[in-house]
Amino acid sequence: MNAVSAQPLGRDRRWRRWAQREVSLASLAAFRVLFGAVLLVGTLRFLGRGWIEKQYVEPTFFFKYWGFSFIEVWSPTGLYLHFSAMALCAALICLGLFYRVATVGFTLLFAYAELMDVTNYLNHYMLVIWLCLLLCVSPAHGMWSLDAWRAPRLRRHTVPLFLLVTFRAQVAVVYLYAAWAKVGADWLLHGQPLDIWLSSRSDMWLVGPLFTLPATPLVMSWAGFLYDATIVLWLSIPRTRPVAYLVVLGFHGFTGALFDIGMFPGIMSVATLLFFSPSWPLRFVPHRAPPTTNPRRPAWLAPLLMGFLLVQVLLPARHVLYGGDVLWHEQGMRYAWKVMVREKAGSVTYRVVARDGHRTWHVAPTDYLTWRQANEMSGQPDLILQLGQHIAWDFARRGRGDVAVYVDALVSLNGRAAARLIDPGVDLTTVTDGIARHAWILPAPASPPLGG
Amino acid sequence: MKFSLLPLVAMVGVTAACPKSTGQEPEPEVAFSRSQLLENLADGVFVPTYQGFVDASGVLVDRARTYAAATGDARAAARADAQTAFLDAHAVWQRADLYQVGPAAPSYRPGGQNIRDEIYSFHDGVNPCAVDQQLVANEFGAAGYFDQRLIPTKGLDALEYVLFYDGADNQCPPPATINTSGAWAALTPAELGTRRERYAEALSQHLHTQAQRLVQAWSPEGDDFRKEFLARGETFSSERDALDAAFAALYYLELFTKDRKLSVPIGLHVDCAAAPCPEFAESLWSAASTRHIEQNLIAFRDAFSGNGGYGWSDALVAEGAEELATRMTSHLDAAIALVNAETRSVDELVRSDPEQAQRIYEAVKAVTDDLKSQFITVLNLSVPDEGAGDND
Repeated sequence: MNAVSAQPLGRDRRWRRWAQREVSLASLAAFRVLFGAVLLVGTLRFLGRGWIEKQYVEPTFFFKYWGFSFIEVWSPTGLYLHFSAMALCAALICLGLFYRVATVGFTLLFAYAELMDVTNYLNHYMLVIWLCLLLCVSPAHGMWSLDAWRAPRLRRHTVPLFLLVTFRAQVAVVYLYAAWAKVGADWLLHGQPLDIWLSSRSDMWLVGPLFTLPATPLVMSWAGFLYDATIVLWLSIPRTRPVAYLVVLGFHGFTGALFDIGMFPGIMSVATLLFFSPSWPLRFVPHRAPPTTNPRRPAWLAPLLMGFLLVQVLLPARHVLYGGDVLWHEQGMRYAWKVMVREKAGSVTYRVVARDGHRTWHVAPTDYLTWRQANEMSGQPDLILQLGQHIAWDFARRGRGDVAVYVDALVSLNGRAAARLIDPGVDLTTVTDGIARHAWILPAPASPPLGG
Repeated sequence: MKFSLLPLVAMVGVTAACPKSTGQEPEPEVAFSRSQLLENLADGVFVPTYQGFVDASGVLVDRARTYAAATGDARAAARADAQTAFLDAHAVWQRADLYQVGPAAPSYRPGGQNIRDEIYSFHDGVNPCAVDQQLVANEFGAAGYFDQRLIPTKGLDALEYVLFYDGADNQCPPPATINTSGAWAALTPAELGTRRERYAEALSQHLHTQAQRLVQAWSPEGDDFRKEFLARGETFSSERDALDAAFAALYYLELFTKDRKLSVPIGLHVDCAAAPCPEFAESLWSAASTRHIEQNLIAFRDAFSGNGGYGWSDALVAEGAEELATRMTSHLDAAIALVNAETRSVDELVRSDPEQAQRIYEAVKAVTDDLKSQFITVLNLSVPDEGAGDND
C-alpha cells in the first residue's frame, strides 16, 4: 500500500519542483519590453486615428457591461487625459521605469476604457487585460529596465518557471478556445464566414485572385482551425519551435493584412515568443548575471496564478451551459476567444407602445446610437435589451408617458436569410438582464449558412 | 512542422483543383466581378441619371424663362408648363437623390462635394420664410446669387414653393422683419407674382448649373470622379470601400423614404408630436410626395437590377444568394406597384387613409429589412458612416 501511494506523491513533488525551479528572467523581460511597445503603439494609434471622438465623444448613449453599470464616460478632456496616461504607462512598461505603478496603472486605465461601452469590446482587448494582470504580479522589470538600473535591490535574473508557464498557458487558452470556436458546420463544412470575407477582398494585391477560387475559403478555414488547434503544440516542441514561430508570424501577418484586427497580430507575435527557452534573448543581448540569485517569491503568487488559470479555463467554456448556438444567442460569447467566427447584421426596429394604447412609435437604433454602435448592437441580444430599456426611460423622461417596448430584430448570421433574434411579443421593459439563460431570445435558424 | 504542413499543402492542392460544385452538372462560368458592378453603377446607373437631370433641368430653365417673360393671358399656361417641367425634373432628381455617391454626397463622405444639398435639401429642408425674405430683398437677379445663399433658400424645394404657391401671404411669423417693417405688405400682387417668376427663373438656372457641375465632376473632362470610383487610390483604397460608398447611397430608402417621407407624417416617428403629421410630408406645394416615393423605389430597383447591366442582384447571385435577390426584387416590385396605384399624396393619405400609408411604409420596410441584414452579411459591406475601428 505504501509503495503504491508513494508514487503519485513523488510525482507531485517532482512536478512542484519542476514548476518552482528558477529559470532565466530574460524571456519575460523581453516580453515586457516588446509588449509595452505594442501597447504604446496601439494607444498612440487609437489617439492618432481620432477614435476617441468616434467611440467615446460622438455617442450619446453607452452600453454597460453587466455588473459594471457604474462606469461612466469621461468628458472629452478627461478622455484625452485618460488615453495619454495610458500611453505614458505603456512607455514606462516598455522602459521598465516605475514598473509596478505603470503596469497596475495601465491595466486599470485600459480596463476602464474598455468598460465604458460594450460596443467597443474586442477579444484582443480582453487578452491585453489578462496579460497585463499577469505582468502586474511579475518581476519583469528585474533586468533590462530603468528600475533595475536605478535601484539595485530590484534587480533579478530569474523567475519561477510556473510564472512563465502561466503566461504560456494564457496564450494557449486563446488559441485552443479559438480552435474550439471554429468547430462547427459553418466554419468546417461551409467555409463561412471566410467565404463571405474573402469574396469582398478579391482585389487584394497578389493573393486576391486566389480568393475567388471555390476551394479557397474551405481550405483557409481548415488551415485556420488547424493552426489554432496545434500551434501551441508545435511551439512547445523545441525541434519544431523555430518553424512554428515563422508560421505564427506568417499567419498573423497575413490575417493582419486581410482583416482590420488592429494590434492583435502584434500581440500574438510577441506573446508566442514566451514559448521559446526562458533565456532565448541572451543569445542576442548578452547579460551578465550575478553568481548567485536570491529569488523573492511571495507565498500568495502560486495560488493566485492557479486561480487565474482556473478562470481562464472555465470562463470561455461557460457557453456550453446555455446550449444552442452561441454565435446566435451570444450568451457566453464575450471573454471566450470566439475570434472572427461570425458575420452578423440585423435590421432592428423598436416598437414603442403607449400603455394607454393611444399611440405606437417606431424607433430606429440610430436615433440613439452612432452607426458603429447600432451595427455592433444589431446582433447582440443583451445590447438590444439595454437600448430598449433606455428608450422606455427616455420616453418617460420626455413626458411621453409609460410605454411598453417591443423589438423587431431581424438578424442574418453568416449570410443566412434574416430571422427573428428576439421574441417580438416580449415587452423589453419587463425583462431583467443577467447571466441566466434568456427565454426571450429565439432559437437560431436551422438553415445552413450562405452557400450551404 | 513538416508533419503539420504537408497535409495542409496537399489539401490546398487537391481542393483547389476541385470544381466548385460536387454535383453532376458542371456550374456555368460566373462572369460577374465586383469591379464590373462598380463600372455599371457608374456608367449605367448613376451618371445617366445625373445626365437625365441635366436634360430635365435644361427644359425647366426654358419653361421658367418663358414663364417669367409671359404676360397677360399667356401667364397661366406658361406657369402650368413650368410646373410640369418642374415635376418632370423633380421626378428625375428623386431617382438621382438615391445616388449620393462621390460629388453628390456630403463632404464627410469619400469624394463628397455637397452637390446634392445645392439641388435638393429635404428633409433638413427649405425654409419658405427665408425664400419670402429673398423675394422682398429682390437681389436674386445678380450673377452667382444662389452660390452665396444658404441651403434653405435654394434647391428644388424652394423652387417648388415659388412655382406652386401663389398666395398673397408669406410663411414668416408676424414678428419677422418683412412683416413688421411693412416690406411684404408693400408688394402689390402683380409685383409679388413677378418676383416669384424671376426667382423661379434664376433658381432654375442655378439648379441646371449644379446638375452640369455634378455630371462634370464624374467626367474625364472634369474632376473625373469615375476614375477614382473605379480605381484604387486616395479616395477609395480598395474595391470594398467603393462598394461601401455605393451601398451607403442605398440607405436613402431607409433613412429618407421610410423614416422621413413616411414614418414622420404617419406619426410613427418621434419627430411627430401628435400623430398624424401631414405637415411633415414631402412636396406639400405640388402634392407630389407619393410620386417621389415611387421614383425612390424605381431608383433603388435600377441600382439593384443594374438597369440593363450588372447590379447588386448580380453580386448576390454570384455569392450564392439567389433567393435573397429574388425576394428583394419581389418586394421592390410590390412596393412600386402599391405606390404607383396610389393617386393621393402622402399628406392626404395620412389624413384620410392612414392604413394605406402604413401599408406603403411596411412595403418599403420589407425591402430595407433585407438590405440591413442579409444583404450586408452576404456582401460583407459596412453600414454607412460606421467609422473606422478594429475587429477580432
